[in-house]
Amino acid sequence: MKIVITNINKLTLDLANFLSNESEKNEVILISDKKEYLHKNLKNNIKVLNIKNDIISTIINSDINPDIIICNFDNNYENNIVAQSILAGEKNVKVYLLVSDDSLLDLYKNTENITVININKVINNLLIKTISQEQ
Amino acid sequence: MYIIIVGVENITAELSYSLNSQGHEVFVIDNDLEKIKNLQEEQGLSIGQYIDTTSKDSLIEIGIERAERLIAVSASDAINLTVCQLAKSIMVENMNFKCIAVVNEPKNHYLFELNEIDIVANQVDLLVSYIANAIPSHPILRLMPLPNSQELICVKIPTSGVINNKLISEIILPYGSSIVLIIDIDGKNKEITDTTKIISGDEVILIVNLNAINEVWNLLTELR
Repeated sequence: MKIVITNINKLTLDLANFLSNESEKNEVILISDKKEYLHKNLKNNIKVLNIKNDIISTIINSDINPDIIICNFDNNYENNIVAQSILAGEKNVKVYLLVSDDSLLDLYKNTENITVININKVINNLLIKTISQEQ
Repeated sequence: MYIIIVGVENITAELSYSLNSQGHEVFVIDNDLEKIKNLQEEQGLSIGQYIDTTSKDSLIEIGIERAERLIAVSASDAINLTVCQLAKSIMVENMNFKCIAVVNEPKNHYLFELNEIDIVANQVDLLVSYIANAIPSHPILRLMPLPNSQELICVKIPTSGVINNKLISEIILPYGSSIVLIIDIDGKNKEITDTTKIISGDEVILIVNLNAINEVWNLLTELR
């Protein structure tokens, strides 16, 4: 499975490692506008693409043809435009938007191939669960 | 009415000043603190606020629920599209609420139409048509965007045009295009029938599909 992940940070690097460990058949492509990750020691089935301009167009229009796109831009609008471009292009790609609030939840509640995940909520729920178990 | 403008760009100061002068209550928001500060220096602190424009909670906080218009003029199509989608989802039951968005990249225009943004102003198209209109040999005026990827346009028939002196019945327009009004050189409205003659200097107003604008333009302005 070909998986594209946008915006490299601690979370997405861990995610890339996890996905590559899950199956050697998984090909993970990390896309970033920063060069600092280019020479990082990564597993063979993880690639880093350094794209300075218009990462979104690169994901949508290039011949990468991913099965899954995981968007982790720092803001709602860049994550949203990826989802919109995929919907408009009627491409058969599963998109996960990792966001930090609930703003986009309603927009994609009836859309099968777009999933919005509020990371803050996931962490909060996990913390609450852990704390309540300890008590 | 209460109008929210998203984005402090070249047109924002003039737009907010103009709408304020007409008695509207205007509030400007932007993701960029510096831009908001500059606008506040010009028009006062109450003109706007620095917020995350693509956060639903922020939009509710600035009172979107009592707004009747949201005008997205930021330089980012992603912001303009997202804020309009969010606003429409919040205001889904308010039929008076309308979203107006500026599109900076023509290739993104269709995304706004797919999301049924009420009025979409394509900056590049507007500029091109303005410039084209300033050149008398090739006049076209794009009057108004219409639903279903259509537009109302006006074409002035050139003096030595192929179409000059032809009957309407002799002109084969592209599918989906129709003439709705002809104004002659004296500013009088011509009756539209199959036997109406199109004369140089006539201004022909048509409804056309967006993808047929150039074809209609070429057809009506082709020179002998």
